[in-house]
Amino acid sequence: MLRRFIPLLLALLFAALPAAAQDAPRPITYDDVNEVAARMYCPECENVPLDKCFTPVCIQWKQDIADQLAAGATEETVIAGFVARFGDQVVGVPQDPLLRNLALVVPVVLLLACAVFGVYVVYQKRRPAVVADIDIPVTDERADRRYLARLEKDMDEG
Amino acid sequence: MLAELGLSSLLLALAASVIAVGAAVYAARTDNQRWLVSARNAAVITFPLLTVSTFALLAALMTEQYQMAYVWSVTDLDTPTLYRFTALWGSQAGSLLFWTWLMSLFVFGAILINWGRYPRLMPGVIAYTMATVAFFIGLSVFLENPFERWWLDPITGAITAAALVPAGMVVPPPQILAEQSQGLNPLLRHFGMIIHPPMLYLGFVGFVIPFAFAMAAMTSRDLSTGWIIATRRWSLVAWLFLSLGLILGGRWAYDVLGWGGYWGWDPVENAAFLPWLLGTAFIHSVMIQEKRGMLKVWNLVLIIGTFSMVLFATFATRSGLIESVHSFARSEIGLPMFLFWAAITGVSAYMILVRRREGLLKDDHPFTNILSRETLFVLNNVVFVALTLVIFWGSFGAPIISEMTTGTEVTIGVEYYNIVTPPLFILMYFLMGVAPLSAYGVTSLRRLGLNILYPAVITAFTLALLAVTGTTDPAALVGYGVTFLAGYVALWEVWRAAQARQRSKGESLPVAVLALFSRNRRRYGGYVVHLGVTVIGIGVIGSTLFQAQTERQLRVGESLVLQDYTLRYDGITLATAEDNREMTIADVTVLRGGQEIARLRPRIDDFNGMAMSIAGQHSTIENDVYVLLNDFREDTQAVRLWLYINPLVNLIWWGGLILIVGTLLGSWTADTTPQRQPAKPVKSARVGEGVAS
Amino acid sequence: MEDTAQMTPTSTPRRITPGTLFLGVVLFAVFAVIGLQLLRNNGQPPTSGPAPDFTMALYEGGEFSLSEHRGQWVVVNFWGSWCAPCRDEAPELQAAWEQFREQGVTVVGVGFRDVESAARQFIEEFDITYPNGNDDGLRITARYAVTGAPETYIVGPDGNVKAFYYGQLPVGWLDATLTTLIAGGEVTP
Repeated sequence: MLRRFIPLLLALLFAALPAAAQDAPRPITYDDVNEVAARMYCPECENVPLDKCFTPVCIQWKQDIADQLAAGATEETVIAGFVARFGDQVVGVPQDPLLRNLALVVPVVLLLACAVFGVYVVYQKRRPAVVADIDIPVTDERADRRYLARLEKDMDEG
Repeated sequence: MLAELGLSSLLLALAASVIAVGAAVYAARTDNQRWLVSARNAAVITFPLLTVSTFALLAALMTEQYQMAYVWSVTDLDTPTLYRFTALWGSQAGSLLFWTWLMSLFVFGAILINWGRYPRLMPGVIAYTMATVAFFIGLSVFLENPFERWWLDPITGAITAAALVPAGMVVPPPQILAEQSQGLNPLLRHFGMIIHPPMLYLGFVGFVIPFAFAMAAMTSRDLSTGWIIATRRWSLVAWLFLSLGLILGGRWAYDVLGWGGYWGWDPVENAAFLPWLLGTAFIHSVMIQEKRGMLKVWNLVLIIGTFSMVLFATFATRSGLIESVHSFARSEIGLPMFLFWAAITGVSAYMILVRRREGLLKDDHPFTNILSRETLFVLNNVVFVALTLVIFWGSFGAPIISEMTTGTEVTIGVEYYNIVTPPLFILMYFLMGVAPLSAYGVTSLRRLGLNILYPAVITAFTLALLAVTGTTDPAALVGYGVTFLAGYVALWEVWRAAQARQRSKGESLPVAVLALFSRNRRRYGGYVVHLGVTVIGIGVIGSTLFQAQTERQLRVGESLVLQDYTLRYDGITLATAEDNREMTIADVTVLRGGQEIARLRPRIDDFNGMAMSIAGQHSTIENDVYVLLNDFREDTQAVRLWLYINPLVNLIWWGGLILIVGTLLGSWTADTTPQRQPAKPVKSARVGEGVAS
Repeated sequence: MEDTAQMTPTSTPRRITPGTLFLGVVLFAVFAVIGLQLLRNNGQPPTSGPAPDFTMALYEGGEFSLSEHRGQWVVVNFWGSWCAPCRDEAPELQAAWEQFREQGVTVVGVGFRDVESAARQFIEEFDITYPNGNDDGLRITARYAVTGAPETYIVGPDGNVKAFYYGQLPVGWLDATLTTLIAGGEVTP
């Protein structure tokens, strides 16, 4: 029985921090449950968020979320409890610090690599050219002609 | 009879495709025209042979030949005709044949059309396309044969599936086979499923043409723009089908899967999105090579990457590499498909390195200016590649590595993609807005600034209007900002060019616009596509950031309220459909401000225990009122309804339509006649350059 | 087609640039990881040979470790309170436990994707007295490649899988199988 109360105790602890929290117990609605479930995935119907899943396992899990919320658990403690019981596959990004970093740091590294590569491609092959700055307002008739000439050239090229 | 016909035709197709590869390779080595003609003939005959196979299977489905294991597994006595037709791609073996048939159709067309024009590329084109076709026919013949039949051992009573009659076995009683047949997966019984897989497959297989031309260009060392000009329209057509497939897939998910959305960042969806991303980069990037002779390596990397992702997507979804709602059951074709994918990708990458080292891929011009169109296109490439990498990582990299190294299965879900992709999409839309305004070669910041001034001002005005009318979420404003900018630039460019023509040539506005479109369909078709992508972007931002939802249990006559909508539950209707599904239909009235605006009938379809929730939808440009029936209690007649308000979601479908129109405009270019290449390859150049490196 | 092969002998070998090497290594790593995953995925549930060992905390307190029951017959049943066939077969398992425990047979229930409150309720409802625990982190079920509940394995005194059944146990199956196995007979699945 003790295990069952750990999340509850944790929840009470968290709830106690802001003194105003939860004066009167509020009935738990489907929306409350869905809000938590939307952040979770059930291992049975992989890649379908729990709130959108209606298999027996999912229905039972959602009932359990409702029970936990009714008992005063917060969203985070509910999710932490599920992760402890069913592993990191029940959340959209793993909570285990190592796996979380693996999941989120690698793309950042990939992005940086792409950025560096892009800059490298352009700069390595770059030759300075005289920038002919054309200082004419766009609506000017001469600009029109210039623009049209450029357009025609573009078009003739393909 | 149909099974024998289909099977023998399939075997002949396999033989023809293998002969085509062999003859093409031999023709390339010996420079022998007669062998090349043989290769072509063998390649061209493959399509009709596969057509016979495919139609034999289709005929078997239509005429209920339950002795055929495939027919038995995807249709039953109750299956309506329409779904007998779609059952062709309802399961692994049939869809694989269908996939291969579509590919052979593209190959057939590409070889016939380009035969006379690009003789130097032809051996390579035939070899690479037919090797791919042969591989997939091989899978059909040896591992996933749709023409296998059930056979009964009269002594033991055992039933086995085999393509050829096993010794001593007889045909099982047809009555029993028919009664035990399986019927089509209920999820596939939807209009979207009739058209989504063929579109997606057409998009996938279409990229084999530009890929094969690129490889042919490298093997023949003819790395002029010939391969790009030859495949320009093929790429656009493939891209169009792939876009359509993705959009229709979204629509199918939205209507059938009952989660209130159209895109779930599911690995299988992502797998189809990856080739789209690289393909999009490719169709932009090739323009730079055509006009400036630059980005040669990039273009090869992009088209090879695109085709590699096509093969990967096919492999990942059909092998059970990652479990998913959409994927076919795990099967033994996984390993051969993996090896084929790895081989094609590895060989192609190696070829690029070799040709690059030989100096054949040197750009004709350097990058001269940081704001030039070429540079912006490179950045655009980088953004698309970055999107590909992070999505690949999320869908396959992280889950696989985590499971492998720590033994922990993880899910990388929406949360990840919502963190990682928005900055890249913002950058993508921003470049989409800026790049068309910059010139080739040199663009000064000042000039670019002047060009973008008007669209930027209109965008700022739009954002101010949005802010005043209550859209104050900064994320939404940034998103809308770049999206609107891209759209306004597209419109502005058309308008400005038309204005210029009007002033200098005295044409009226419609005439000027028409003239522009007929002069350069690719450019202005492109702007229309950009407009479509803008409209899609607005729909995605609106429906993602401002979706509202609530779920409630209601008794008859009770209502729920969400925003200014009221949903009243009026009662339940029970019915049985033609294909024996039990339908539980909730009658629901939607009111807005007290006025009745729609009556909806969300329902649960029960196919022998497999249930599916079909939404009731009331669609306007402003939003969709989308209602799901989640539960029905017979005792109290109470239902659980889930109401979604999905703002602007319809713009996604409308944007898709604009995109189609734009792509058709852009690819319907009057044929730019390419210079006829010398019929004989320049032999000396080949040898000389080979030695020099 | 592969005329690259022809030229290599005559061309002077050039140093592979770090960039090329890096790309090659990355590409190879991607292939290797995906290939390995594919092969792993093809791994089958243990229908013969040694049963994967596991240790789990029990609802009634204490731990259950498969390896500590070497020398005994162990019926490993994967179940979930959400699963209807599990409800139907629960009395059968309890009966087998009561009938065969004298002959050195242990029955153990491994909870699969089950929430705690419902699992405890289930155990209470069916007066289950054989040890039951939850597969925390779904690690045990992963090793047994469990895809749905119920699944039942019978592990022999030597630690090898002797029999298995996927789905709801047919009435009398457990009784008959255990009797045959204990008597030294073989069971073909």
